[in-house]
Amino acid sequence: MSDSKFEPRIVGFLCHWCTYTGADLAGTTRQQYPAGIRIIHLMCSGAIDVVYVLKSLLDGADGVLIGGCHPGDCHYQTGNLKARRRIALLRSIMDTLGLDQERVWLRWISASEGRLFAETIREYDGALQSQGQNPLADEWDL
Amino acid sequence: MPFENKDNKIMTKEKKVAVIGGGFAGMTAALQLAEQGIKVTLVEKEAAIGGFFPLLDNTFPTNSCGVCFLSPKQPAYCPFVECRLHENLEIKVNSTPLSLSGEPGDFRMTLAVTPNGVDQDKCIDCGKCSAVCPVNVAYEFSEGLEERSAIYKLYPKMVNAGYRIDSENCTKCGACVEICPTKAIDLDAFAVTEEEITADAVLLTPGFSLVDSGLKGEYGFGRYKNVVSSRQLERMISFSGPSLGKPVSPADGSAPKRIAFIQCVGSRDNSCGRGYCSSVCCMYATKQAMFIRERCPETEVVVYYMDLRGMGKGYEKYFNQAKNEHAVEYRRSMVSTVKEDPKTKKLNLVYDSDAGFSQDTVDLVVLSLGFDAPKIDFAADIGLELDEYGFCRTAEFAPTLTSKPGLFAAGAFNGPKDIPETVLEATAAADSVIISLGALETDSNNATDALPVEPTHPEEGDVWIEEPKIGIFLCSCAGTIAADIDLDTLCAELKKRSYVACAEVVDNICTPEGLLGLRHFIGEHELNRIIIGACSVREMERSLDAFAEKIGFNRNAFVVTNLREQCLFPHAGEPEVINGKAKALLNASYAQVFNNLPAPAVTVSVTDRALVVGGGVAGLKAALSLSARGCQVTLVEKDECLGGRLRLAHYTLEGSKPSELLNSLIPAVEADNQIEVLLKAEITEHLGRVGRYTTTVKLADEDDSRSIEHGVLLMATGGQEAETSEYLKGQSEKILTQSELEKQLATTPEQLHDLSEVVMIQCVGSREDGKREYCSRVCCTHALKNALRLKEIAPECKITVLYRDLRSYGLFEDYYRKARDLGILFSPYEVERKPEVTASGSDLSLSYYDQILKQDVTLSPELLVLSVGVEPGDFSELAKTFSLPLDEYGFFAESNSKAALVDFVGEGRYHCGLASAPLHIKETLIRAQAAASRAATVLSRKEIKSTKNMVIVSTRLCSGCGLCVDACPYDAREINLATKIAEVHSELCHGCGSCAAVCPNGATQQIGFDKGQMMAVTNELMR
Repeated sequence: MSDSKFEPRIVGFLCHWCTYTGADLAGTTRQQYPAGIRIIHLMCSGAIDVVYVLKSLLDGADGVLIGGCHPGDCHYQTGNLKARRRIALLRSIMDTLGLDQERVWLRWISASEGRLFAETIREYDGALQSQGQNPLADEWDL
Repeated sequence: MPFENKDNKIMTKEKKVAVIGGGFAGMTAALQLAEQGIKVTLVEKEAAIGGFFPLLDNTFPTNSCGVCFLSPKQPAYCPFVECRLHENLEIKVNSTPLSLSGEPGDFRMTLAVTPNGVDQDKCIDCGKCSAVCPVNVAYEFSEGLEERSAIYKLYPKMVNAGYRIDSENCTKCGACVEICPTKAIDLDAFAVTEEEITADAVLLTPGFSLVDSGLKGEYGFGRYKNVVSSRQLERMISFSGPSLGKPVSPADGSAPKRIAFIQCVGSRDNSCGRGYCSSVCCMYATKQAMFIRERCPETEVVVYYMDLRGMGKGYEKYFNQAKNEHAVEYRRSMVSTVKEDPKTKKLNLVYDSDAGFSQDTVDLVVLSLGFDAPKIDFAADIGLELDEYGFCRTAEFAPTLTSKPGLFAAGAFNGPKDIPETVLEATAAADSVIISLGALETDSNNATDALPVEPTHPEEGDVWIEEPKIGIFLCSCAGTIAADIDLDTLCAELKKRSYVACAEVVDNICTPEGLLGLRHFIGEHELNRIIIGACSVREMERSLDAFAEKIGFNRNAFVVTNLREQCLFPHAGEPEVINGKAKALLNASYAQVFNNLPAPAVTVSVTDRALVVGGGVAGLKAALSLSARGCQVTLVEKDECLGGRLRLAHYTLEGSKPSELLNSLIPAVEADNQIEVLLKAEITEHLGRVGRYTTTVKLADEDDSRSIEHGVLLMATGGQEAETSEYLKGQSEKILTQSELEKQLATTPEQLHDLSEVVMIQCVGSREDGKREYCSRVCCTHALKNALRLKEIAPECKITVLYRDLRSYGLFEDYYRKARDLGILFSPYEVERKPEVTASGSDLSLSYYDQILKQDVTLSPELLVLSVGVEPGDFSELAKTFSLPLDEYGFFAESNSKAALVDFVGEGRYHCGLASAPLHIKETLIRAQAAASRAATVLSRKEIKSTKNMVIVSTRLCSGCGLCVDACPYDAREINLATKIAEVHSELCHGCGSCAAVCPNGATQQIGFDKGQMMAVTNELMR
């Protein structure tokens, strides 16, 4: 665990209209962030099924980031709020899996907030660095 | 002359419109026109479209962005991305119109095109040039808060290239030319060239500029570092700004503890030639204040203002939120001077208060800058009338038409306005333009369908049950991607995976040649699933959609792997990392595409008829607009005659006669054989979905009900003057409402000759907790017009107007000034200390606290006039019948209070007029046209094609639990009562996937985001 070269693996479920586009902007504005993030594109953060998050964690992801539009900006009215409710519920049961709640982050990042996206990834990477590897990563061999 | 013969007709069949100015108004109108098949040239003088938008991170009244909702087809990207992507829209940047000549159907415009030294087609946005540039100058974008090099982006958020060279500051050292990998820079290419464009109609949306920050010398901008402009503050509170969203004192970079806003800088001020109110500053200052309070709770904010002007429906609530929840302090006082303490750099404000002249020491002063009219060089040449300030002169009842036929105008050019109003006006202008183009066709005696015919496409391939044949195409992106990612090796590896028929490197997939190559491979290998490894899906999707449609390929059979924005760019200089990530992402895409079940699209035909409910001015105007485009309209009115509240209006502040408007609208509607008018009608039932509604109408004169089939619905059911019993209303004949006074002024003015004392009270029942919290918008101007008319009839009459905030916004301010010049007395009162009215016999006595005299004043008015405000009709039954949402005040609710004010959630149903919000007649006409324009984007399609990524349902797995029905925001899910299966209404589905996420059985699956797919993807990513 104390491996200084530990590079957290993050799965990012990002909504098409805001955060995914924000991630694009981070790229075009040449913001640099850790490469451990793997982005999965969803149409709306409201389409996130907690099973995807759990599956990612069981597959060995050190963290899962769900990115959506700011409240009020959701392209599908309230999908982001649905995600918020679902993720709050998920986080509340994560203890029982032996996982820290902070392994799942939900963040609102708009299409114009490329800088915020890069910052969020850096921050998350840092937080996961100090948390260490996902304890389930080695235990599951599917 | 065009249209003279048949050949010419065919050549000009494709209508062309030039839109001048690429700000909010320009982008909205251009998208609206393009969506309806018009070819649009969007001309922008700057290096990129966007206008003031890139400056604003968040806008009022939602404190979020949300402008993407202004696009006619939802969901959409931010408008400047949408404009770039739309196939009917061409953007010309760096282009300033020099001259404009011609007539409707044949305008010619000469553009001065200023190259900016960077070939935009070659620029790959690598940023190396600005990094090596030795020049550092103040960045105009933030008015000098940041610095930039001589080669720079117009605004930091610009996507896709956008670099330009500022030739004035460029030292021509050549460092950028040397380092540019694509040879895009030419330091000698600055010669201005001229280009001529033609158009059938021209829409002017040149916007506005902010007044010079140093305009009011007494506030010390430029001399005192801690005096900043609203533009600079906006940049500070932007997350992409220099201080990451927080205000700072420029003198020492510290966090200010107390900030003062000074309102009306360069507005309502004849001393600097700007007599008008800029309409938006109170709101944007409030927004900025709220953000400051939210992010720096220890910072105090005080706003010095004259009148708090926020006239929109939800704006009053916004002010209250700022005051009550964010503790922003508002002081009604103009600041006379600002002085800096040279040691501490703190600023001392002198202002007039209850206790005489007072002082306030603050760390930062923000000047709320007003609007300046744009400069239009060709106005005189073509006969475009401007007002004394330089704003466009339009007729009150034709608000988007200019004095020159064929030239239209919208946005701040027609007078200062905020984003929501700009969006509405631009949408209305698009309507006016389209109608005028239709009229051109008719004039040419070659009348055919005014609206363009959509090209037909082959049927979409039904590939979803076929065994996968996967094609993988990696784009070299003119060498950008290929330089750092070993595409050939990736191809070789991917080719080994099962069902991969081919894996190739293609040059520039996004170009026509690239797509042609793709088409060749699809044919050769009979591909039915495709992975594109290129730039972002967001860059690729529109061209891939169009490509798929053209060749009859399934839109959902594509998966785009983002190798550029999310792989190459953010990990620059780490080729190993980039290659590893690219491989992982492509393998994930393989898993996704392998498990993809790309079901074909479903289409639903559209009934070409609009149902307009309400025969007032909004309904009449909307019906005529739709009919002028060739749509069939049924207009339903519950009364026995048309006209609505307009029949009760006698004159307007600007001097127009509502009766004339009525006399033009009603006969036009009655004579129009495409409009069916049903009077004394009651709606009993409404069923169906966008494109195919059925509404049942019961007519008072008929026994049987009628059933109307229609494709869209417009609600224009109006509003009314509110009733009150406050201030003894109803107990004395001397107490009138403004409407009652208006009637007397118009019909029996002789009875008012001898009046000597009249008092008007504003905001009766409006803007109060527990009553109507919103501002009724029209009452201040209503009072002004009546007071001015009364002054004409009885010049000696003493008129006192007691108000809370005099909201003569925009160009109405001139009338307020005129009223004061004529001796009409305006005195503010606070809601905690309202005027008191008593009656003894038939005499009235009124006393109020005068804030200037600082004492109580008692008057004996012969007439007391109450401005009682506007309220919506009782729509509870209608809302139930149509299952439409009402807002908290009882008006119809909009889907987005900034960018979609005439839309209900989802397509097909719209609202306008007083049923939406309190409005002037002019604004009602704008909303009616805007609603018609939005509705026409549905009717102009012959059929509604299901969205990409629609959901599908497995009848075998569905248990009919109904969770999906609750999750869907668009009513696209419904339980079929016969089969107990939750069906999908393809025409309503927006493809968000919310319902699939809640389905407990996996019966609902979103195409392209199937649960099996997602599982396979995470599996692959974590391998």
